[in-house]
Amino acid sequence: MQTNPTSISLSKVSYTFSNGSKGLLGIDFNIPKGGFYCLVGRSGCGKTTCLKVAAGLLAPSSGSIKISDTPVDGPSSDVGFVFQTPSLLEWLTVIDNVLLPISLKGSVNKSDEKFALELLELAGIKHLAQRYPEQLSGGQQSRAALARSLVTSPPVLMMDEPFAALDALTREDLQDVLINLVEASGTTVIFVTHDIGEAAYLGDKILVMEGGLITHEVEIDLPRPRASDLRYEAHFSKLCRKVRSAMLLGAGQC
Amino acid sequence: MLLSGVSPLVLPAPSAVTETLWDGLVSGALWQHLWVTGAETLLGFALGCVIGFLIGAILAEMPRLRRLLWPYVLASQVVPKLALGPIFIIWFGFGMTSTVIITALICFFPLLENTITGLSNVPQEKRDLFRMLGATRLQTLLRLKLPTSMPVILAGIRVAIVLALVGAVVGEFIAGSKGLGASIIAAQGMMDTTLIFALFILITLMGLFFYQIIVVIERRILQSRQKGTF
Ligand SMILES: Nc1ncnc2c1ncn2[C@@H]1O[C@H](COP(=O)(O)OP(=O)(O)O)[C@@H](O)[C@H]1O
Ligand SMILES: [Mg+2]
Repeated sequence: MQTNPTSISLSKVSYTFSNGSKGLLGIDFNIPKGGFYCLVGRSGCGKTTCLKVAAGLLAPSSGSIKISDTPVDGPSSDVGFVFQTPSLLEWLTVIDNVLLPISLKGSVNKSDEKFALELLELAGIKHLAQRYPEQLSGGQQSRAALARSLVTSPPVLMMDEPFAALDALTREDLQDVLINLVEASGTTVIFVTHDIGEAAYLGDKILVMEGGLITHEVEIDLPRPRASDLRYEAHFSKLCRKVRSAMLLGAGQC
Repeated sequence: MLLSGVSPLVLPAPSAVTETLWDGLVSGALWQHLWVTGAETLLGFALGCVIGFLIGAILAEMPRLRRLLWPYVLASQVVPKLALGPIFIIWFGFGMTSTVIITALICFFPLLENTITGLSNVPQEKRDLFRMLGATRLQTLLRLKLPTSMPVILAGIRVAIVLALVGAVVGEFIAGSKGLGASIIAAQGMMDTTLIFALFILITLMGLFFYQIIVVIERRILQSRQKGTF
């Protein structure tokens, strides 16, 4: 990992809302290329704000952000973003939703369609390509949103609690789908969640946030490829406990 | 039983009303008025809807302009438009022009309001999605905001078509020399209650007809939205 070049770097990034309240108080982290970092913290600690600033959706009050060594000064096409809700367009079929990023840039050709179908296949919903979002379950919509975020093969993927609304089993399925998709493409990921188990299962490293700051970093030294049984191993539980106590400590500091 | 003592001048017998209606339609006397009111309704409706939609879209896209102009827009809508009738008669004379303008003014506001509401209530996440995808402002309007707000805008259109008929008929009370509304006034002058009721029925049927047409068009639009025409 150490030898890889940096893909995302935030240095001394702070953000103040228009009403004067502080969202971020100086965030520093570097994610190596192909790294999978999870951002955990209680709700309201600034995870979404941090992600939006990193993505260029919000301009930082101070500090700097670089993606692939290019300073970020607005939404970048290098970043795929997955929102908390699937945010599919209800008047487009699943396949057209997945192709939206390409169709906004110009015309969709055969190879784009082929790639979109491949992504849907990997996401396990190829057979639903011609359906409309309202005809899908929540989990299936999340799969479509994931495929959409990867259709332009962005080097960086940012995800804001994408599976938070799903039931436990569906969530585990989607975690495996996500790992497969990003490992195959070497995508760098920042994944926001409030679920410690999810963070430990997915990440190389967990950044614990509290009150607009990153208070702890926990290295997840679990081997890859990861599989569902991992969740019941002693080392996994130990790591989860470590993250949990870091979150509790952070709360004490506030 | 109770009604048997009531004078036909106050409440005509249904059979008499039906007969008057039938005679009027067969002889063609009512068609001319039906045609005039229908034309006024549709013209005023189309004019009010198009202008209301366009101004609504502009104000929704320019929040600062909207904050600046909103008090005036609101004031102009609180003015009872029918009270402007006499002014329009002075400016445009008796007849269709005045009635069409009154009707358009009445249809303008529901479209304006629903267009603004619809276009400005697109979920933040979807707007962020379009920003992340590098969509232009026009793309965001045409491919996100308009299709998202289509149901709200169409609801405004449904309200407008009903108001349009009311606007046209009452507009004719004031400014019309032809049409179903003007005929009601004329019938009133002759104390012809039977004719007034026949005209009521005709206006109601026309309203239902227009409303149904709008519902059918609405369904078509929502279907074509799904087929990706938008
Ligand atoms: N638009 C806003 N204006 C003011 N404060 C906000 C705004 N959005 C979020 N906040 C506040 O900033 C803090 C962080 O929010 P957020 O990043 O959404 O937290 P998280 O995603 O971790 O739940 C919260 O306390 C929230 O109340
Ligand atoms: Mg959040």
